[in-house]
Amino acid sequence: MLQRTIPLLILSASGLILILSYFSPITETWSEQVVSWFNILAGVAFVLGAGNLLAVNLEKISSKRPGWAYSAITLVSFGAMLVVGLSKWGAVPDAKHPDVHLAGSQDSTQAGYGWAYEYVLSPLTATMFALLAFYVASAAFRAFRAKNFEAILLLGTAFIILLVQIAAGAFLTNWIPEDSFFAFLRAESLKAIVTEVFQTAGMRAILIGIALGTAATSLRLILGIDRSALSKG
Amino acid sequence: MSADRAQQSSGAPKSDTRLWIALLIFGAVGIFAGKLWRPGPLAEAYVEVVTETRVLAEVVPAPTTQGTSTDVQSAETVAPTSLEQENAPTTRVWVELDDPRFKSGELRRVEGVATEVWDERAKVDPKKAREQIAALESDAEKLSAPTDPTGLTREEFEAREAARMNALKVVESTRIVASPRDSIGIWIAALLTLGIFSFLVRDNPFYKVVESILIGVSAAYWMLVAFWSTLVPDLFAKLAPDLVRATMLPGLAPSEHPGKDFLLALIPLALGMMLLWRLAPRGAWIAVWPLAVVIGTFAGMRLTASIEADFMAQIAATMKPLVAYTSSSAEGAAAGSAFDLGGTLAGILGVVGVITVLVYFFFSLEHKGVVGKTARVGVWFLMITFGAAFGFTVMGRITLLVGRFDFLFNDWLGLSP
Repeated sequence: MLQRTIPLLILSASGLILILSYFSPITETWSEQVVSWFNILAGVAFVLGAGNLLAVNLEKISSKRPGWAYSAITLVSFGAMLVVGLSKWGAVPDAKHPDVHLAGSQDSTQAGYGWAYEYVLSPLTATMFALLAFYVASAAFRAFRAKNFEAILLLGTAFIILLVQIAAGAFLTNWIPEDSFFAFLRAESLKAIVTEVFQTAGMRAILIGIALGTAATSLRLILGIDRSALSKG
Repeated sequence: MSADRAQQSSGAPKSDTRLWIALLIFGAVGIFAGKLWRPGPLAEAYVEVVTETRVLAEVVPAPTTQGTSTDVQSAETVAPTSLEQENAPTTRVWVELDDPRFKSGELRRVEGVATEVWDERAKVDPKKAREQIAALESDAEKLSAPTDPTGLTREEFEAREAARMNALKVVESTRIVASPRDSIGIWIAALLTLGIFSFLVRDNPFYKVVESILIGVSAAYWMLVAFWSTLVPDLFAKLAPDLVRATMLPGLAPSEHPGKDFLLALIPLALGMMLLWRLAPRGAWIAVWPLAVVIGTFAGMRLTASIEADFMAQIAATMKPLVAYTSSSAEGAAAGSAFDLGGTLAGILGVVGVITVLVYFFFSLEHKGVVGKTARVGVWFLMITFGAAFGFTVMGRITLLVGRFDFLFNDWLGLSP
């Protein structure tokens, strides 16, 4: 009862309130309330994640497992960022309430939190994603083989997109007159044809498929047909 | 052979040494090139410092009307301090020291409250900062010389002197200074960037240290975002509005139904604590209740949103006239607009693409005969879609890579002229 039935009822009720609010303005305030709870729980989920990070790394350090020193670095950086961000260390006071320290803004690098974001988190995430450029290129070089018509289409489209995005694309095709029959071969036209005709059509069909899948899964959850989401306590 | 064995026994693989040497060479060459190109400090950073001063003032009640300025609207209202003002609560605001309302009598300073003074620092591009510093020094030198009174009347002389002193005051109050705090930040960012790039050679301790920092900092960052943007205004502000107003959100508007808000906020508080119970060694099932709220709400939101924004909207966007004219309106077409071959082909290809790809995704029918051929056309459209998506993804990553190199070569090494 406590572990299966009540969670199912809660799930169905919150889902149905959201659906009803779309059709009936009477339940709009209910849905606003439920969405507000959802946002709060999403916020608490971050605290849960942080707690889990602490538990996992502390266990690794205490048992001196291989790589425990990296766990210690993780915890130190986590703790430092948390202290700086919660205390609003170095925050710029709010001009309307300069006497309330915690009302200050910590967006600029003047504040410890803003400084850590600007010089630690932002470069690290940007470089991590930039690193993927090498691996995507390497994987493409190894995996892409024009073995059949479909592969040629994929490879050719990727090549066209990469070419027309850079100056070489315009340099190679600018000699084609804009008012001629072959103007569609100019870099900007090729890009428009690929993205606005073919990619749009493909993406539309994919989105329609995703929407149908999402709606079906949501209904299965709300009606209690699919109970797998609540199966693990 | 014996050297290799000795190296293996010491736990330091040979390629690690190569990595460190490569990184050191890269750094040394970069620093040397930077110095050769443009003499000056590495990781140069400047800020423009503006000193802000605020004093606490109270609004002097007007005889007939109340003050309506924006500052006053956001001000706090405190209890009256004298018997005469018992029926007129005093409104207090933090204003600039030279606020004109002091002179007009609309405001009067509250005595006994310390003046709040702080510096606001805004980053300035190093090249512009150097130019501005030079210009300010030149201006200050020119303005420091007193006005030559020759051929001037007393009034003219006094007016010019006053203008000079005002200009000098502006020049002297503009402070563009080097920022060691930001320079250290650039150094740290550069080392972290190199640490991530070192993974290109192989997995190594430098990368692992940087990776650990990224995990810790990003976990704390997202937790802080959730705390300040959701938990404080949506939960704590309803549970303890007075405390939150006094310590974190002084602009928090008073609730119309504080009792109801408090009771309703107890529900997510309880659910949140139940969610955190997952960390406890026993009774992890308790966290299923808040998870049910999260899943149910998300399912309800997505059901209507995906049907409306994805399903209906995408079908509506596909339902366009197949024959296109240079004028998009029906009147234009009737008036003899030219037939648009490109637009017509695009429209037909769009509809064909959507239908064929949907047929490919329809697995209830076996892909044979007409269905199979249609699905095959759908696959062609999908291949073009994925090819374009791949191209854009690669371009996006390369743009980020260029951004990181720009940071290393310009912001850190200062190689830009």
